[in-house]
Amino acid sequence: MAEYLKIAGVALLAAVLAGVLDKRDHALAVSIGLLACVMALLACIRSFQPAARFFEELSELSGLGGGYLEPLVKTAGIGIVTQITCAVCADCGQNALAKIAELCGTVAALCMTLPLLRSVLDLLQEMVGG
Amino acid sequence: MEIDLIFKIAAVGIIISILNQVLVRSGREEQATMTTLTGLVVVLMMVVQKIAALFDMVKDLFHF
Repeated sequence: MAEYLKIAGVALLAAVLAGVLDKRDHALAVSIGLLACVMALLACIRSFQPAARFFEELSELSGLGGGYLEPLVKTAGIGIVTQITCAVCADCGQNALAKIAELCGTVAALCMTLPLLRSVLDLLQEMVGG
Repeated sequence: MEIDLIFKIAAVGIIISILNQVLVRSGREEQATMTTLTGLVVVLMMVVQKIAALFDMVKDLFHF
């Protein structure tokens, strides 16, 4: 909870400072916003590490191999990075760049899930007897 | 959380803005542009270090 309050405080502070600087220098205002996003995300990821270890223990108990859960976890990571990239590009007024970054993130996530899709296809082929 | 980095960038931004105004009013527009660019480079260098740290942490946590 304390960590979340710090993150909220930093976000508000950065928003106000960026608002002040925006009229004078848009690039610096965006840099402040970007830095605040990165710092908040760093704090959030550090707080998430105990939960990540718990999910790893759960996956070991469930007997599911790493090959099933890793693509899901990597896709979540790609989603987070893509969202931030698109948002910052949009803040800078580069909407085309934001859309391209989103498209690239989608393609990367699709490539991550290919092993799972291939496993499903193999399973279907076995079941059908082909 | 290193909140002082945000204050540093805000301070750099305000100083750059004031210098820019002073240089433009005294007719030195090229120097004003150079000052703005220099400030931007300094700020970006600070931000890039944090972005690198974020990507390293994402790589560790999401097993890339």
